[in-house]
Amino acid sequence: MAAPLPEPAVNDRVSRIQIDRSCRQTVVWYMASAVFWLLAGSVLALVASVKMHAPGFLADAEWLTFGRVRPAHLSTMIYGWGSMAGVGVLLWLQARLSRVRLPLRLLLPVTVVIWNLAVLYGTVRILQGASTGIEWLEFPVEVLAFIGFCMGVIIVASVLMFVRRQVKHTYVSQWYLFGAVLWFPFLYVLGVILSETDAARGVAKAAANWWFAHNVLGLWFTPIGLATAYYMIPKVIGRPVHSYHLSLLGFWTLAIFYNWAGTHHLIGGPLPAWLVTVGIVGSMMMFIPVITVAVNHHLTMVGHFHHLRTSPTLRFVVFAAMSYTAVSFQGSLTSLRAVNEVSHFTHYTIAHAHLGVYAFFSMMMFGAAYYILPRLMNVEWHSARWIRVHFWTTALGIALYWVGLTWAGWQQGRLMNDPNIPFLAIVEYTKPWLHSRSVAGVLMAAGHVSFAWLVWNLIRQRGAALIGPTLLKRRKGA
Amino acid sequence: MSEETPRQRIDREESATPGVVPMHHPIMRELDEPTDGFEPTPVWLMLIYFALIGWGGWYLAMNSGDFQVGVLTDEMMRPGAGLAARPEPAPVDPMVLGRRIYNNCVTCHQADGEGVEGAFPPLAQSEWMLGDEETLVRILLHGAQGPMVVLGNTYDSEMPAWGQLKDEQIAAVLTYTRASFGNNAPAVAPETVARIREAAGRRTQPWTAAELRAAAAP
Repeated sequence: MAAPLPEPAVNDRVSRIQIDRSCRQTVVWYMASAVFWLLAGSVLALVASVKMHAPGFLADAEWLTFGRVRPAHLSTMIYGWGSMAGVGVLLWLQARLSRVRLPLRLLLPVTVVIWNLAVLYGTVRILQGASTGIEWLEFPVEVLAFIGFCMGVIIVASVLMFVRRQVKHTYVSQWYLFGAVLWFPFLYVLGVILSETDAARGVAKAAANWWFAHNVLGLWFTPIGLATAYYMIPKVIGRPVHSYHLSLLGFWTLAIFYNWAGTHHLIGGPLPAWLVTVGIVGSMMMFIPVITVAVNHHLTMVGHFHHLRTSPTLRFVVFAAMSYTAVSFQGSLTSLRAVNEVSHFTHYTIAHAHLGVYAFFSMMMFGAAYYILPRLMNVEWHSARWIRVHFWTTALGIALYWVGLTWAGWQQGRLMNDPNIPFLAIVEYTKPWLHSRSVAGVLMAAGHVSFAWLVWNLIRQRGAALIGPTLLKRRKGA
Repeated sequence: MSEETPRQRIDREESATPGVVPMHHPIMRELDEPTDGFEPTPVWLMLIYFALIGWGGWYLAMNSGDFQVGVLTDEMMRPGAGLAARPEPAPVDPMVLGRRIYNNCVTCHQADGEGVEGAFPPLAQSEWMLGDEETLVRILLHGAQGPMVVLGNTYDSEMPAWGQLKDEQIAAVLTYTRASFGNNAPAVAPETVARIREAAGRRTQPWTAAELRAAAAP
């Protein structure tokens, strides 16, 4: 006769089923909406990318000119894909880690609808030509009210879960989730007010704009991404996070230093030199949380890298965590004046931004989705092959994208700093790399289509009923 | 039975105990929730971080242009350069400055420069105001006393000394009064005031009309 499981463990597993059931509606809706915006954003991205080397492409369609498609791509990806996926993951993680069911289960699904309508309205207005022209805040100002309301409900839900938590110990992921859920609404509301009203004028407006735009990455996407990594890595490999002390150090140094970094976008601009210098020092200090998190994750993973062959979640999450280290190192070094003199206003910056938002955050969200959605839908992923296609197209796509544009951007910057070289010659020089960007874009879009196909089938419950997780390779002896 | 409301559905779902088969799903499909390990922080890591923070302080000190709002360029970021580069205050229009200083004079000479008949002499059209500028500077620096004839009337009152004012201020108030109340005499330069102040040395006595005429004689 098998020994009975200890009582707390059984209760824990019962409650996990109940937690997942409470999250089903809200979290699946958020994730599915995110996938829709991922596809929409990919189409806009491809149109914008092709226009860079074939300017005549769709040039007659007023709605699809570069100046509209590019901000529409950015906004759908940030507010549609990234933020909606992030909110879904955030709510599920907070419920699981607090060991409580999701609260506000009538209001939260309503926020999904409002959020979707807000992003749809904003995107259409941008394509109509009504963009505000302020980077990362191109949506018309009235969108603030709707997304702001949704964020308010999400804050209340997060706080309620934490207050009702059934475990005494607060796990590291929860700190990051709380950071994200409290920092972002503050940033967003203040960012809109400072950038789109007369509250700030002149260079102060530019400083506020980049304070906001950079912090969306650092104080919204980054904490959600790191919370996911801190949860998924130990969860999948089944061992504790290496060091609580390193977790603490990494979280608080992020909280202290990130907020200062934004003004490094304005190096060489008409800002007081000290304000830019403070941004550079803040960016360089980001080495501290980044190295800390990297060491902590690596020492947790050591000896368990073979799981990358089987677990789709872990493969995406580890790829994302490594990209986080890479993009942060690159970002800190790029903030130095000597590097920035070359890299500023070139394709190098575009490559860097995609390394952050895509290779780090989006891959992290893919990994989270592969773990969370089957548990909410009680169905397994119907095909390991499609997951492999998704991983390799996106991983190779972003790698090609980054290598091509980083090289092109660096050379472009060096050539532009030489006043004797005509501008058009530099444009001609970068053309092969603009083509490689479009190829990379097609690869990533193909990955998104396979991901969407998997999610579609999962939601239609066309998968193996729960027997065991869908793995990329069979475990030996299993 | 009536239809179930959303609230009732949530209550029913929450109170239901999972069946035996679903209860085994988490056991078969996932491990326990993650926990924290408590390995110590490596010392070498802390040393790197202290070095990094030290660099940060040095870089901030060396490149902040003394936190002056007007320092925008890379060349002026070094400590001290920012303060040195602070722009000189724009020169003040002597007419504006003089008008402000004249506020000290209106009690006696009046806002319209007409003075008070029999007590304080007028400035408007006065031969003294339109005459020798050095004499006027002497009166302002050290004061005047004793009878003086202005526009045919004799005044015997006391003009206080204003030597505590700066050269520019004395020059400005004279420039203002010589160009106001219908007067049209040339401006007085601060250098003139400085020269007279220097020549007068340690004089503390107010001037009399006779002394002034003697000092002005070539």
